[in-house]
Amino acid sequence: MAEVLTHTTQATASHPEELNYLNENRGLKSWLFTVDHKRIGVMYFWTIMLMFFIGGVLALVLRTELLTPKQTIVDAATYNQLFTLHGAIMTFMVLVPLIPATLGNFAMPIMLGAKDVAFPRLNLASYYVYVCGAIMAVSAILGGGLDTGWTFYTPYSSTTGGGVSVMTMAAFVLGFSSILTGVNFIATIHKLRAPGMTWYNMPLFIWGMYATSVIQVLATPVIGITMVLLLMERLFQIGIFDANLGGDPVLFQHFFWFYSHPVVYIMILPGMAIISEVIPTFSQKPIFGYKPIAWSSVGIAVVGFLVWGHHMFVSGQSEFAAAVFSFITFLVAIPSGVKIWNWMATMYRGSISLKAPMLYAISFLLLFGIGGLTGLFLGTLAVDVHLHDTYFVVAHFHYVMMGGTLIAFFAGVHYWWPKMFGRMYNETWAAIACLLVFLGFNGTFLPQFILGSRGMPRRYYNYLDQFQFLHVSSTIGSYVLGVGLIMMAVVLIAPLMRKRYDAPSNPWGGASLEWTVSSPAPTHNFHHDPVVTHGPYDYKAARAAEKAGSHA
Amino acid sequence: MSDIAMPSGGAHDHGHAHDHPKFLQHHFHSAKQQFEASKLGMWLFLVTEILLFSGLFLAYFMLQARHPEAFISAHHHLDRTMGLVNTVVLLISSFTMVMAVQSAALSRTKATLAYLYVTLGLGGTFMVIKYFEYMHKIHDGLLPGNLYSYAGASVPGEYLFFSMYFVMTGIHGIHILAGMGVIAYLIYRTHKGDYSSAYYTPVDLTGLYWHLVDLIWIYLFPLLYLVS
Amino acid sequence: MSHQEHNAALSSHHEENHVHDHTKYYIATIAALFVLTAITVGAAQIHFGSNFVNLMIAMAIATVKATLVALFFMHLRWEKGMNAIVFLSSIFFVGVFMVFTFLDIESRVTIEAATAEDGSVAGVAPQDMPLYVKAPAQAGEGEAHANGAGAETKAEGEAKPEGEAKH
Repeated sequence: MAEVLTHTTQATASHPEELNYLNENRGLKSWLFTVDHKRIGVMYFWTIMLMFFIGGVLALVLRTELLTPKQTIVDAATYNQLFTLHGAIMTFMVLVPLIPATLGNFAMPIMLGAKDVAFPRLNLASYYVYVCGAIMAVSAILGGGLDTGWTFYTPYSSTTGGGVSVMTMAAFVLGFSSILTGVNFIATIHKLRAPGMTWYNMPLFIWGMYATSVIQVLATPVIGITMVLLLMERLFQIGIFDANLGGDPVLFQHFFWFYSHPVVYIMILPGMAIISEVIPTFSQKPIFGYKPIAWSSVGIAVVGFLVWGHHMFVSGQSEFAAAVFSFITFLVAIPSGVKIWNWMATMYRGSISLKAPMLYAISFLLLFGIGGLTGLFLGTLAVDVHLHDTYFVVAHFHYVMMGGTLIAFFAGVHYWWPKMFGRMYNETWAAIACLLVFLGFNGTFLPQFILGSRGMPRRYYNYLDQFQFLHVSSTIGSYVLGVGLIMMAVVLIAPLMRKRYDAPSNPWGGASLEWTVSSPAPTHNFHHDPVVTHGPYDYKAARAAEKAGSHA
Repeated sequence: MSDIAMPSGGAHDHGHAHDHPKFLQHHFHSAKQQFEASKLGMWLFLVTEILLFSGLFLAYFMLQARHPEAFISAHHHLDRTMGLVNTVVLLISSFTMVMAVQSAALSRTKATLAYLYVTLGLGGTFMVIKYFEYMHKIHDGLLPGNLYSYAGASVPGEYLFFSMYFVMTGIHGIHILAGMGVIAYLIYRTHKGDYSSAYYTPVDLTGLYWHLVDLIWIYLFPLLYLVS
Repeated sequence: MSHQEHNAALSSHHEENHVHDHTKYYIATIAALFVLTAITVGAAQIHFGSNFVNLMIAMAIATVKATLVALFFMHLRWEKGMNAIVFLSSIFFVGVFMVFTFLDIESRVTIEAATAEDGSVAGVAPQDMPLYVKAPAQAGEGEAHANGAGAETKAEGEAKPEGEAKH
């Protein structure tokens, strides 16, 4: 395998200044008015990373406040604003668009053998809609402030002052961006596959993006109407969510969670989709159980719509409904389990290469495993009564959203970085950064399971003395995590300072279509329409094709 | 660089830029593929509209279930005749819209224009009738939420009905106005001669949207005006 | 006009777009829609037992009308299945949304219903209840009973421990 890689490196190094999507058209306007999915993906990438940085800084401030049981650096009202912002930014502005809009936009059309997504102008529009929504959200924060928690529960959110009204509109706008991406991807996957690429011949990344897009299209409008109704309630007291006016605050929660539960699957399915690419490639072995993994994505998408009430076990929802939701929640864990077993089976007796993408992927297996399993504790109705609104919940969702989605995202970024920017990063430092992230993450959130099960409530800025040790551990972990993330950023950005695009077309020995084009990708993806002759995990055939192709 | 295989026929090779119609975008192989992708995209957008309105219907059902007498009493204030006329107006506009789409598909420009103008006019008629209905309510103080100021005898909680009435018909009305805007644009493009059997996608997609807005009214009308 | 001819000429090189004249179907559909509208109005005058049944009948007739619009005006009758699948799946999820929410709303037990004669609520004796929950009889005349539903939800809302009131 090493000889094949060297062979490829030689072949591409003979054309160092070939035009690609980065250098073919220059100038700010060529970026701002681009309809190239790759450039749109890159613009999304930097914008979302900026929001991630802001959300991360907020988290570090929160953790610093929690170093002591009483007030440390901020007062209670400020603390409420901080966790609201951290949550709103991380969910709406980072995690929802994260993988679809960045890596999905960049890689998916190439993987399909297409020249672009189905609706390129709509794609650009989705980016600008996102930027508008983000600006509106920032205005809400700077204008009136927001302390309702990212969940906006009524009647507090329908009666309190501050920037809630503007924030509801920001969320509506951001939702639109998500919908446009979803519509685009579904049409692209249905209509723009290369000849020879049947549904069962697509990389599993595409199946994951498809399932994600279905959820985006079906669920997002409901948060849209929820925000509209909340705005109406604030402006006109229409009486829908406020019990004093004849409405039902639990109805708000039904509306909110009908979207917000599927949204967590919008977050995790693309992450799982990346893992389905990274693990086989770095095991040089076809994925185990292609069809079960493909259909489990669809299964998660569908069943994920049936469980939202598990966020409402103690809200005043009826016991009967709670029991039904709890039962179905157990079912939704099954397809996720299928994936984990299949990924592990893929690695078994594979030729494992522990490069950075694989290190993150293996971290994902452990961290998402913990996150997913702790979800079952919370899905158990009787147990949730004690764990609801404690740090156990906080730990659970950070394990799945950060330990799951974000770690998978990092795996995907390290995987496709050469294709996006044409340079390789330093493997050793990337591995060190991964280790710091892994240790820091566990250091931050593992203690929180214990805190929660011992009764530490979430969203509290002060606490009983007995919790201090675990809080301090968690905060120290968060600092390590922060250092690790910054190191990772430096590792990835440093090579971008080099002028030469010296990355090979296929540094990892991948078998899907994006590895057959140069790094960075050419502007139109393919010079001639590709015809698919082998499956996306047929590494043997891919190596043979590469050998044959390099003689041309 | 290195592709997996070179296709044998030239059918997919669009290297020469001027050989294909203006409207065919470079990433599509054929007009048919582009047309079908556009329609699928439109249907997906309609799905989002359906889910959007479903929240409103659910809220209405829930409030009605909790305040049945208030809702029964409140809906008597609605003018059934105006509602019925509006229903008929929208149904006819759906007919004229689909005839416009068909005319464009059959390259009958004059007919397309005629049907589009009538559809636009009917949409306007709907909004005018709506305007009169709203004026009547405003005059009586039958308004949503904290604007409610009806002085006559009423069951407590009637304002909840009007909250939902205005939010639902209001959002529906905004959709009608947006549709009218797009139809006006289609009229302009049709005058320019941009649509024919080769390419009438925008007319088709607008038609789908217009029919959905009609569909929503088909449910709104009995719910708000008729159920007692 | 030249655009049209140009495009039509070019498209003939690609594939023939056979567009059929479906006018008679459209006319039949609009006629049926008028009839169904009349039936809707008529059915609203008749009382079929309860409000719920009246509502269901009105919705059923509306669904027939909607099906006609979707099948004929929106062309699903003459197209491949995918668009119809997309449309129907949205209906399915709307159904899920409504059914599950109503499952909750209709199966709630109000505090009044759960209060026994001795003042215990759902089996909890009055002296064992946390201080902030008052049985309706003890609540006093402060509760506005303008809408009965409001009072129940308020009482249920108060049953949550203080920490959670923070949302």
